[in-house]
Amino acid sequence: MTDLTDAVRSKARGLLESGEVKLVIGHTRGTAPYRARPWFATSVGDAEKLICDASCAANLAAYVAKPTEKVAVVAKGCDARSLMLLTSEGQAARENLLIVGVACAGRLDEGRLLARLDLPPRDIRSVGEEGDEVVVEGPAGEVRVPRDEVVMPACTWCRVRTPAVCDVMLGDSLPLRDEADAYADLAELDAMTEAQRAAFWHEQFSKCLRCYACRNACPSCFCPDCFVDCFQPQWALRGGGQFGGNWIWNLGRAQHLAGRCAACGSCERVCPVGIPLMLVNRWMEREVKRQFNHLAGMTAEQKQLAALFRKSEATG
Amino acid sequence: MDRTKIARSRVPDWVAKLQESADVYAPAVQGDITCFARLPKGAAPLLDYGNTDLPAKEVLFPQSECMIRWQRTREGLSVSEVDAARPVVLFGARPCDVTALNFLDRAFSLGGIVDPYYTRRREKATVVALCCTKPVPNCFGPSVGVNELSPEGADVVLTDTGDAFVAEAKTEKGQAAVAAAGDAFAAATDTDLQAAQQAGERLLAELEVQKLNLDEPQTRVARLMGSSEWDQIARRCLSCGICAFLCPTCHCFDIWDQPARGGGERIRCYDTCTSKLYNRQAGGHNPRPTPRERLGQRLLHKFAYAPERLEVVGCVGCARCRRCPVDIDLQISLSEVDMA
Repeated sequence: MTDLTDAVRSKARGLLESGEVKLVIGHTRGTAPYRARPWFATSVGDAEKLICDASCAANLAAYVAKPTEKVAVVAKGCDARSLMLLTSEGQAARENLLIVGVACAGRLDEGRLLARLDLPPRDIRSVGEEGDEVVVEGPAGEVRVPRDEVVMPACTWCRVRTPAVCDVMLGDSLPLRDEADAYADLAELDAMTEAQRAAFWHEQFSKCLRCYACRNACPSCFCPDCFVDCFQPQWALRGGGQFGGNWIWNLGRAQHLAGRCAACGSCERVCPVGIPLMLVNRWMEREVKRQFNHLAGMTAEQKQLAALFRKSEATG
Repeated sequence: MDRTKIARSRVPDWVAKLQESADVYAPAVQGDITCFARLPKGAAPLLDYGNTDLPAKEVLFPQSECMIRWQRTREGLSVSEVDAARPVVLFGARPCDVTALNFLDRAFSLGGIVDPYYTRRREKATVVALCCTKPVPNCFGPSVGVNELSPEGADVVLTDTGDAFVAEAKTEKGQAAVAAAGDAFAAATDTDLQAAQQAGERLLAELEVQKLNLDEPQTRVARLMGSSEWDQIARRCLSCGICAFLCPTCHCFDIWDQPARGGGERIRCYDTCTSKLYNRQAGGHNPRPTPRERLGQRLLHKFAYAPERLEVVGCVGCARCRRCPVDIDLQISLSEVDMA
């Protein structure tokens, strides 16, 4: 058990025992040592099952929908950003959130981990962390791999490794990463011509199954009725494999997330056909930052981008 | 039973012969994922693979397909039905995906109501199954009745014996497929058959450790849905639908009319009971308003309704639904139900 797991359990126990909250949203161990699952602790017994380690990948803000009483959320940097976004957009009252902050150096990507280890999943006995390495215990003993090779791609360039806003911080903080290479992940796209980029996205979006898992896993996608489900009018044709509709869907969603994406990488993580959706979202994030100097969810007081207006914008 | 063998090196010749009269769909790597794709002429099929990320059902039940088209003409509206079914060979599908076709055959003709789009494709399809030599991670096919060595629904079954494949033609279609490249096949010797049998026994022994106890599925479903475990599952389901989109037996679809040049078309595309829109009725009422009811429907359909109506469970043990981003594994949960 990691120290952080211990701290999370003890904090959750205290919160539930004192009655400060009736629900703590965290993670518990899943069906493999590298898998965690969201866990809803409502009793001290539940709290004992909480864990906090590199396997806890899901953004828990996806489970916060207009809470009517105070709820505690174990939040890494991106979860906290999402929660701030939700408060700024009227989806959760700040006083109904108790943000239990934890630092995060990256969360495991199951696909990358299994590919890197080349072990049958059932042979993996435990997965831990030491410094910048992930330590895996397999049948032939210990295997160490650099963390950045087995975490979600979104984590490798994440800057907000410690919640920017939280009510209580557990464990040590991690410093913000250097901003200089913050958009290095976009370098390949930048180097393309417009036609090459169009061809790249054509290929990517033509894979889209239109399952909308990206939307459903995204804490920022909370609309009760999504534009893509609307049939009067039909904004995005449903004929799948049909490029036009897939293009409208994916870029429509990207537009709706401009200035609203917490860069947690959930969409990319869940996409069953491996579309690098974070490239789209990061592209938009950079554009919003460049034009409006806005990065979503970084402070509790922040207004949403569409509600911002500066006099300087009027003159163009 | 008709058993022959074909050398690994002659498989491309066989496929080329099959391509003379049909489109051959075989496992292919496309970017980051593997799926069944039409094999270009002259290309060799991928034969060493675990299982494809996307199920083989896509070949016979595509993610979206046009049902009818209409055109506005001077005389009025002209409507035409679309029949896109062409002769295909589904080459190298794993026993789970093949067994899933057997399930879809039943589902798409339930109560004598025959789905023409699926059935037309299915009738023109020849299925060449390729048995696994190594267990696919998390596969539990034998626990849900998949015959890993000679799956129901296959026309030809191939078993890898190293330098060659033992081929069992199970149907007339299968015999024709083998006869198409008769010179590439030789009679299987006792040694070949023994090698195939040993490969099968080895596989089954290795799969034994991955087995899940799913006996009495209906009782398990009822008990799971009444448990606190279900509260957690239902609460964490994101309704993302990956489980259904990747499932080889899921077959629900939605129908949309959409504009096309000079007229329009009616298409159908995959849909899933885990989606809110799928369940919403005209007028706006939703009888399954939360993920709890919707995932419950999926669980019930697969493990309670299907055994009752189709006499098989709606699961073939491929474990693709383990792609669930929040670690919902209905089969593991069912297997862990207290049956005492």
